[in-house]
Amino acid sequence: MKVTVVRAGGVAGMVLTVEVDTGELDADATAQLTGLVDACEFPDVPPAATKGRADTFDYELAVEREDGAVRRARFGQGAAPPGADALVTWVLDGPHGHRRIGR
Amino acid sequence: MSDVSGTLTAVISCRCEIAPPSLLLRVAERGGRDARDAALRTLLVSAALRSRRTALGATLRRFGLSPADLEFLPAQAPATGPENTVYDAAGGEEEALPGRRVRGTDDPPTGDAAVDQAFDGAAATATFYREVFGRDSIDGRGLDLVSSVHFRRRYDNAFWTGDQMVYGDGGGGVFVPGGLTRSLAVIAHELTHGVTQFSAGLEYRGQSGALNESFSDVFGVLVEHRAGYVDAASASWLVGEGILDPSLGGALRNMIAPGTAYSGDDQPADMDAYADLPADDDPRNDNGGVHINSGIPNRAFAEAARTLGGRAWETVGPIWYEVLTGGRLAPTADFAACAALTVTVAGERYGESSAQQDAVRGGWEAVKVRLPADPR
Ligand SMILES: [Zn+2]
Repeated sequence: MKVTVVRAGGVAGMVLTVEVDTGELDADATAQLTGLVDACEFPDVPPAATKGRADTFDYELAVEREDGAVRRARFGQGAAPPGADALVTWVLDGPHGHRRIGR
Repeated sequence: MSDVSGTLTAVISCRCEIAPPSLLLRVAERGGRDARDAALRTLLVSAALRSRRTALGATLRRFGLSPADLEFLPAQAPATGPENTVYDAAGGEEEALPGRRVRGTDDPPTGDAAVDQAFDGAAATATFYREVFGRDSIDGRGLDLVSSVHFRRRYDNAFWTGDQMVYGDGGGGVFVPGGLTRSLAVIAHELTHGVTQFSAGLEYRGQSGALNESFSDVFGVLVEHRAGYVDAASASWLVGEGILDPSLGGALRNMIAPGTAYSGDDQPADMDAYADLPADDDPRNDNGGVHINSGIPNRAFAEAARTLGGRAWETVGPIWYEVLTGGRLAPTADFAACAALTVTVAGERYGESSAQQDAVRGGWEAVKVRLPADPR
């Protein structure tokens, strides 16, 4: 399973992409990530946007399963669907991700 | 809001006793429709009648109103100046805002650098707008300055919520720890988003959004220039110098040479390199390139200021301020409309064909934004 978080905007206007692949994780981290993914909702209709607020962050979260199925959610800061904030924080702030700055 | 304004005007003219806000909020939330309306009106009056307007934003938000709905109320006496208050969010999220009050207008420094820098930066920005442009705080009506620091953990951002400032601690890989409050240009950039909200109201998408970003960079840098006695010729024209993680580069933006501030900086230096991105829900597209194409009007300003030399906040700054706040710039204005207006205002202020107007023209010509034909 591969989880990718894109965080863009902010006062810097930079695009940060962080990717975590369970193939590179130990059993503990894999279990944590799987738990967070299972608890995350991917609504068909995105939650009420915070678009129009200057310099807040905007996010894209994508989960690619082993069978190739991809689920994706896009949301603004403070409008994450249930479970998404915890998953995004784990990926962005944890030690497991491959980080890249750029569009 | 017209019926509310009528009622408010009537109520303000009497001197009613006002029930505690907490009680009124309960009535407003749980009462029937009439009770709710009455409680809401009273709440707004009580908030508006206070000499200080801290927390008004939260009350308004709760009822889906905007500060513009209170425009009809009399402005605060400018002599009092805005209250300046800093709160500690203690790592909390949006629900925790503003947090615990840690420093008020007349309080001494706390020793917490983030608190004291947010306090000083807000004060310096309000002083700049008052002394240079005669503007009474962010909204021109004495709006209290509210800042929250220590937002979330290692948060690499600072933003204006629509009624207050919020600062993360940095240290998440993009900003150095403490970097976001250390830069006066960043603080003034964010507070200027408030000025824009209460004046031109530039829509945060496409070219109007890039102008919104650019006005924040322009006045962010001018606040720093004035505080440090920097003149246009010797200025670095960098926004947020020395606060990025050193692995990324030296600054957030370079106004005179857009695209060179950090590794990965993709700001265009002129219209030939304009990034034509859709304003969609893909975060990579930055609401249609608001932080990308802002490099173009940023450079137009910097070129004009450099041509004139001296104090940019006294030369080109007043032209840009009149354009932003004078009521003639549409919320959906594009670069060409903004450019044409700066030329008009330069002519009104300094005379047609003045050195100042020529410098402004030259700035836009340098970035290849089309101007109306020069009548000469
Ligand atoms: Zn901004």
